Amino acid sequence: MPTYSQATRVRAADDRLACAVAAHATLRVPLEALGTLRDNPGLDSSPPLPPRFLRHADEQTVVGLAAVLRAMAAPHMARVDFADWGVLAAPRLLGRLSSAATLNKFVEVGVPAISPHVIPQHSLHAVSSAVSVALGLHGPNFGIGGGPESTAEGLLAALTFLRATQVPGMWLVLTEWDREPTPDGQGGSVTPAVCCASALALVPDKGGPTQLRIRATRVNRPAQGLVAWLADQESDGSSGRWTLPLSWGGHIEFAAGAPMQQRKAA
Amino acid sequence: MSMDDQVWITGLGAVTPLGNDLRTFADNLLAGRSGVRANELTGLATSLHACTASVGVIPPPRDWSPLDFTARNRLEQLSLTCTVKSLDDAGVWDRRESLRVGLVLGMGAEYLRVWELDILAGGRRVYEPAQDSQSIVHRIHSDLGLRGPAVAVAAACASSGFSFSLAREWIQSGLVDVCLAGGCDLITPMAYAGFFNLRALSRYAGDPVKASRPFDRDRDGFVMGEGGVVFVMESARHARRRGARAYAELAGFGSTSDAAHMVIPSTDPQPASHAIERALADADVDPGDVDYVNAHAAGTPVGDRAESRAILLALGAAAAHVPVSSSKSMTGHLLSAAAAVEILACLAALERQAVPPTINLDHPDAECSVRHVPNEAQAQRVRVTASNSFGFGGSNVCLVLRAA
Repeated sequence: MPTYSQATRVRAADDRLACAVAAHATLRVPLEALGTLRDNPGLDSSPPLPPRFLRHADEQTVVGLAAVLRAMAAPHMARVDFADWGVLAAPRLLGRLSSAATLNKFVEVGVPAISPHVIPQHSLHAVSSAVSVALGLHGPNFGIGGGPESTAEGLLAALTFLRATQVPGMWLVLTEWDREPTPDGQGGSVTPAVCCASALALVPDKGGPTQLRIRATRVNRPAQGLVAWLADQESDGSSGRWTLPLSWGGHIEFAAGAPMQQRKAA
Repeated sequence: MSMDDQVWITGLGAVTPLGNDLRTFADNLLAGRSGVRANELTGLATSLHACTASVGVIPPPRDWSPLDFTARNRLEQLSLTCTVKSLDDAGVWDRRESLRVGLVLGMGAEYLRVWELDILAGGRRVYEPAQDSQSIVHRIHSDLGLRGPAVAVAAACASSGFSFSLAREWIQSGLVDVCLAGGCDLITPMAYAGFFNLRALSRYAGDPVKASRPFDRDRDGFVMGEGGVVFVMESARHARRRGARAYAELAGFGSTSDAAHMVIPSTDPQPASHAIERALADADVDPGDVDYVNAHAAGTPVGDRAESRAILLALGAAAAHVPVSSSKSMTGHLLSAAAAVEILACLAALERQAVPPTINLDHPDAECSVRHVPNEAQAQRVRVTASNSFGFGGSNVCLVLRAA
């Protein structure tokens, strides 16, 4: 079984809710480019997906799954067996574009207008379930948040749940629009829209220095969200620190260190 | 684990098709009364006639401003009422601002429901993103002055099952003193239409109370229900120190994924069986120690068979003796709130020392060969219960309760 360096971690104030981030990848995709990604979300090295798997999926599911496939492609993740991994996804305001179109048709036409895919593909669990089904992950899968505070809810729930269960690892998938789109009522947006996702591979903490954690002190709200910050970090390869105050006290801190290196198992 | 570290359920707030308090709910459940009725779903150009288990007008919390309450959408009303009632029942309502109180609610499709309710009321919220500035859990958290974390969780029909695991972990890791856990969901016209077009709903045309028929060979889908249940949970140490009443211990949690299909349960019983096995192991109980299994069994032909195979596999030889029933035969399927209302059914079994029946079980499906409790409750010793919840996307959850 592979082990990971401890360069990047999530940790609670009392050090009991800690985990390392073994890999992460971020993707930003304009709405008009989503069709291509929907047809082929992976890389050449990605595991094969069921045919037309994302045909009815929400935009955030498409980008979220693509981000997971890119994080999986990191060289040090090549030997990881993901079969028992869990997946937790925290989309923000999933399904707005499709809901506007569906509601239009529903009010005009009634029951026959409703696609049977609306509930399974646009409810809060849709992103985590799609990742679980696509990649054959048999650990727990569930959605978290769904509203404006999804990132904080996702980070907290992932920390908590990883400790509560015996899974070898868990994907945390954060998805959002960079600016919430205004629906055109036909499934598109009248405003420019870029769909974004970060996939974080979380593994149980093995001790060592902390670079990502929940701390008890107060901080100011960050200038940008975690997904946007990670996109910048990944593009220039730098290390740094991102913090988010929690409404109930303390803050979450994500401090990205040197790139993760896989070590041989003892 | 020491007894002090156990996590107890010490309060509950319910709005369900079988009643809004444990006594009424247990009376109806054990008497085999159905909450399913013929209803009209309004708000469309034409009304929609449906068999559902509805809760009607949601009662506001005690002493809450009626004006404020009616200004909220129905999903928020439901969540608020259940949350306040639960804190009140546990005896911590007046102390909630001096404790670190967390909030975890199973809510699988909050925004789909809220955007729909708004459109049907003449609004345009789905077109105006600025209106979505705060989710329901965060608004309740803020309105009640709670001082712990708050999240919504979703795993389709297993949603509220996850709330118990997170709440227990927050308590045991010291993040909170007390945590609210549960789930709420509504019947809306679009949700009804979505499930109808998925061919997941019963199309039974006779007496509505006969429509929900889990495990019966003539079942043809589930009946939608609505409602919510929110529980107060805390450590045994904390509960004892303040002299709280304990309904039960949340003793075990197990969860897996089928990883097979976005809607259809896996034909392989292993993943669901593993969820049950992990919950029993977490509770440190053997299959033979289980006195009652509240099945997910919604009444779909595929789902009930898949669950039966999983129960038989997980319980092994003990399956011949462990009674299994589906309270959805009476409550309908409460979707995101299903796991929560079925924990309430397990509390009723523990309190009354009786196992609730599966009503309308006249001809058990030969491929659902668990030990049924057909049509009439069964008096017996109940110390340990297990409750299954399975959701779209292949989520499998099992929760184990033990008498405190």
